[in-house]
Amino acid sequence: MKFLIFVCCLLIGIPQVNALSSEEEIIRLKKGEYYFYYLTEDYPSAMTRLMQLRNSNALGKELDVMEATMLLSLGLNAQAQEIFEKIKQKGGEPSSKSWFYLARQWFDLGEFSNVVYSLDQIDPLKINLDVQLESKFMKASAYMELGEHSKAQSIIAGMTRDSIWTGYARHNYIIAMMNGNSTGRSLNLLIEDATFYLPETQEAKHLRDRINLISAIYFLELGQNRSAMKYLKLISLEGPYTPAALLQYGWASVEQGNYEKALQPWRELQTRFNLFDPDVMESMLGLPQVFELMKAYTQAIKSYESIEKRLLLMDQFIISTQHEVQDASWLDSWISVQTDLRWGWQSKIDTTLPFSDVSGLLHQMLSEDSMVNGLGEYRDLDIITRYLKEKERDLKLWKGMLQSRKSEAITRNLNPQFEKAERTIVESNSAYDALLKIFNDSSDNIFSLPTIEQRSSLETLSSSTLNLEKLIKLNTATRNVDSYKQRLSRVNGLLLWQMNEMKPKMQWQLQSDLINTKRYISEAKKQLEETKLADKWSVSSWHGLEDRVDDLLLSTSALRNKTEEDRMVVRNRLVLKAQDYLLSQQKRIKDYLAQSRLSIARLYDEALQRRLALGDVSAKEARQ
Amino acid sequence: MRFLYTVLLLAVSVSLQAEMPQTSSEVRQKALTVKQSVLQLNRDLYQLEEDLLSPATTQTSVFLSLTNGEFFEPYSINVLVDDRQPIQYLYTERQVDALRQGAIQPLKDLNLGPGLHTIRAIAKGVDHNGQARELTVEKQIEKHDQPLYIEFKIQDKKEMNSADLIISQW
Repeated sequence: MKFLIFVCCLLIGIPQVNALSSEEEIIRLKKGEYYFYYLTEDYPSAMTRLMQLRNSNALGKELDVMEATMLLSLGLNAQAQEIFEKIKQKGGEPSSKSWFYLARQWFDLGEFSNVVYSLDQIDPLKINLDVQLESKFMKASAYMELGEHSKAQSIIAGMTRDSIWTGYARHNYIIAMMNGNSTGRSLNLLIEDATFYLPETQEAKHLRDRINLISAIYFLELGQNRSAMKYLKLISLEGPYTPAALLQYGWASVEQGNYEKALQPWRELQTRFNLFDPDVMESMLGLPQVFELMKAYTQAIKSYESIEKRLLLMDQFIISTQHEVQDASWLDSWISVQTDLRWGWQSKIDTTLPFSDVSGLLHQMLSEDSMVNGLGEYRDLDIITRYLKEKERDLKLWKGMLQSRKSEAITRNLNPQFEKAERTIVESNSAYDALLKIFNDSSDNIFSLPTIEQRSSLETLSSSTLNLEKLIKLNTATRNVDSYKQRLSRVNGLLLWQMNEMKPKMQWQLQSDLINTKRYISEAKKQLEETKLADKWSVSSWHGLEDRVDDLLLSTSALRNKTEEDRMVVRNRLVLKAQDYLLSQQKRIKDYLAQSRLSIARLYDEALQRRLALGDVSAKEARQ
Repeated sequence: MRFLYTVLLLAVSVSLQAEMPQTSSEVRQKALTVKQSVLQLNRDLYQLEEDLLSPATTQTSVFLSLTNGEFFEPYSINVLVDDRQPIQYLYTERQVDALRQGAIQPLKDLNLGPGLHTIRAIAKGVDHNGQARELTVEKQIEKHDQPLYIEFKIQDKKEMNSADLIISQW
């Protein structure tokens, strides 16, 4: 009895367990799908899946950090901040890689206490070496920003010496030491260490140049010109820091009284680099000043005059390019060369403008962080606007398709086809029954299952029998039909024997054909039922979708309009910024122009004074 | 002289920067709101497209998962339903890594009519010795009026130092 109850309980329990596990399995698949998009860094798709899973509580504490990482990656920092606070309160257990990405985003945003907190959650054994080094660099830099230099120093001391990340950490530490007015030997040693152990890559070469340049400028400001010269000489002549290095090398030489030594780097600066580069422009006025210091007044005047002409040309060039900057065609051509069509942090933005007059002019402005961020925002909004336009068009197409499908589903009449199919099945059933009867009768009738040859032989025998009967009736003395009779009996017997021998095989064949026919007829019946069902469902399967399409179309249009407005605001802001930059360039040119003209006047005046003093010119001539 | 230039330049840049932050943050805030709305809209659009493309009566989603993946690393998969509607997919290293970490790949959403269907899959890849291998599976599945979920699972058979491809459905 007990056993029976146990079995009953089991039987009742099994379907419930199955139903539950099936739901769980579907959630597991959806969760796995979300992880797939997350781990392959397709964050927009992952976000869509995540929002669907939010209500089901399918994911654990990991979800919060992953969502924060994705929000950060899409540039939604405020929402990420909110989630980050929640994680802090709950004390979750997310993966080390999630914390690393989160830390990296906080680092970019300059939220250094959050950087330290996020990096403290990482288990170093669960991330690879390069990620470990980048984490240490971020942590050391964050500590420096927070004023905890000893902690930063101990982190740097523990880093691999020849890694680029160690180089960046040391670079930041050098700047921190300079900000703390450190002048000791330790600074020189740190600079040497930082540049010596860097790997032989292009990135490391630029970093080496940068460290040497900031060190040189620092020592120049302290008046330690020889130390400055030492670092300036180490900067390569083919890098982004070359113009600044050449300019500073000139000034350092001037400070030391080596006027001739200052001329060469400045001449090189003016011939090799963009004239609108501030370093180049500064060197333009520096050159005649050095001539003055060398007491080469005629050369100084000639130099000032040539600079005046050059500055006027530059001013005219800016005026002629201004309308191109104003109509924002440079922004459109920049957008058209972007290859990555994703928006957010993950996307690769090419900040280089296509080569043109405008790009040459705005070259310096594009290296400013605010401009790069502005361009990134404009690009994001442009991509979103295009995406929304596309979706709007898609929704309109869906709407048309739904309407035509709906009317088709309502007006479609498949009954004649179904009736025809039913008739065919009924006819097939009758044919089957007839064949079944033949099969059932075949055991009693020896002639029931003849082959085509046997049927023809039977027909021949029947006609031969009739002919023989006719011959017997016409029997005459001269005609003896006995031999024919014997032959007919023999052939008849032979045929019967053959048919009897083949009958089991024929019956077996017929039986298997009948089984197959029965199966085909039942499959056709099932297919017909399923088709009828599909026809019935097709009307209801589109129910409510038209309203949903309408609603989404409205919200998409509204959002598209809003995005378009924001895009235009950012566009106008960028244009304004470019115009302001041009104005500042013009102002700088005008200042330099005024300086050169004043210097020219002063030099002519001084020359006149000298000639007057020497008696070369009379006071009357001078007044004229 | 240099000092004068520096002061002039600083004055220009400071005056520019002083105007920017407020405008910039306003614009950034607007852009953030747009991005948030787009994410929300994306979810609704995705759900609608799913429903439009595959009503529950015909909706069939095909997935692929990899358990451990010690004895088989997939390079590609080819799925045939009723000898048509082929799904072909080539895997990148990052996708295989994601699968190994427990992710499940959504292979494709299909529309299948009610009734019985034959589904066949061939996964090509390499075993733990780097030798080329093919895993094949074939099964008959039945579609009812509810959405159908099919999972191809590549799972290790440790006792045989091999892997197997199986089909599950819900």
